[in-house]
Amino acid sequence: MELIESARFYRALSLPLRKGRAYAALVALALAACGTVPLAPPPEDPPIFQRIDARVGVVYASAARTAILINPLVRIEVGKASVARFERVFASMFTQATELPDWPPWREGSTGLDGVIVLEQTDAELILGTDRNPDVVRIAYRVCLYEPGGIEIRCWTASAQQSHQRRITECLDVRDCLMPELEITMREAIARFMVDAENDPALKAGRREFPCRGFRHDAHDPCTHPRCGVLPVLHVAPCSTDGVTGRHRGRHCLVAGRSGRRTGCHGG
Amino acid sequence: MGGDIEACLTARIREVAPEIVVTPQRTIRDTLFPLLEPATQPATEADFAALLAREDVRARLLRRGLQYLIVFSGGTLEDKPGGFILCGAGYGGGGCLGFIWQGETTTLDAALWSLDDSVKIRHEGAKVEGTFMMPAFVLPVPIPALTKSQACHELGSRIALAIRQTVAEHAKNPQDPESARQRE
Repeated sequence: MELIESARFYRALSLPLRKGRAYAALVALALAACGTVPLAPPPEDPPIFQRIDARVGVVYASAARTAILINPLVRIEVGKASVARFERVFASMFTQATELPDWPPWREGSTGLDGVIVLEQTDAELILGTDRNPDVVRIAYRVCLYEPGGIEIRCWTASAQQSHQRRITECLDVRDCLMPELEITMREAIARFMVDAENDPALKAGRREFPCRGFRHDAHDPCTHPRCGVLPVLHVAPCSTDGVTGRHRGRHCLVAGRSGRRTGCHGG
Repeated sequence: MGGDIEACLTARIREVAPEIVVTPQRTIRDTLFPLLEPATQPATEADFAALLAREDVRARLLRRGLQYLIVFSGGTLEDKPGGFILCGAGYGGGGCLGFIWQGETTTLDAALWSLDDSVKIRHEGAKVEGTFMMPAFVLPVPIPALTKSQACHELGSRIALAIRQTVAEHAKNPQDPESARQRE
């Protein structure tokens, strides 16, 4: 009898507890949804970078665009803020950086470009501290540069971490401490990427060769790049002259059958 | 270190030499992004000189109307605390009795760079030692050491005077950047 009573008692007790947990989860979710905090916009000055003379397409993968930091106190759209910063970064790195549409996939349709740079991944982590352990913010990016056909030229992974021990009287609203930390971390990771990319031997070589890789000069060829000459892989070659319409989108060379003879350019 | 020291230095420079317009470090870092972030900033003076010698870097700083750059560094070292305070309470009331102390030393350094010729023209430093004390007789009363504010106050004055002096010398003898270099 006593056992049954205890079981009832505990069941009765666990019900509100279980309900309480559900309510707590709901409240946390509601708080997180309401507490979306915007990050400061990127600086007005464009970043400093020894610009590469190339026209590139820019792609922000969904894993990079949609990264969000969520905890019961705060919800931060890190992906969105990162994309805003990388837009300026890529614009400063290349002569021309054009964001490519989601469809068609860039590996199929990116003609007339010298390459495609992709922000592939944004990883963000926030560990809230206590009075003894600091808050820790980590951010990592993965950026890859591809040839227009999808062949990887180079990938970079840049990360940064900041930690801050909140004092008892500091940051009664925890966001006042977290947001600056997050912004510093984001800046630092992007700065690391830019410096790595600028000093990268592959890209340094590309500064001279990248836009003209694989081209040869032929004044009589109708498929001539204004600066680089003729690209042997014709269906991705940008042209300087217009010609008949072909099956590819954009500016590129047409080839006659299997002979490989260049017949002209189309698109534009 | 950073925000509070910067605010203190700026306030002191303005107080000593109101004619000097101070641009916040955040603006400089934004202007030179990504080159002055903690992970990417120059590690040595030679690297810093190389950075300032870059045409694009100088162009950006000069476009903002800057003539000098102050690079400050340093921090506060705290000794192990000594002493003890005992507290107790009963029905009739409570109170503390004792004494705690902790020595601290703040060292701040600043290098003054000229953007005209990318050379370091001055180096200033300030070191202040002090002791944090907390006597407790019924209630504990903390008495801060204030080494940070004192060091920053001292360094701010020196920087302001150094800039003023450099500007005056430059106005007197504009063709001779060497004179400034030799002064160091």
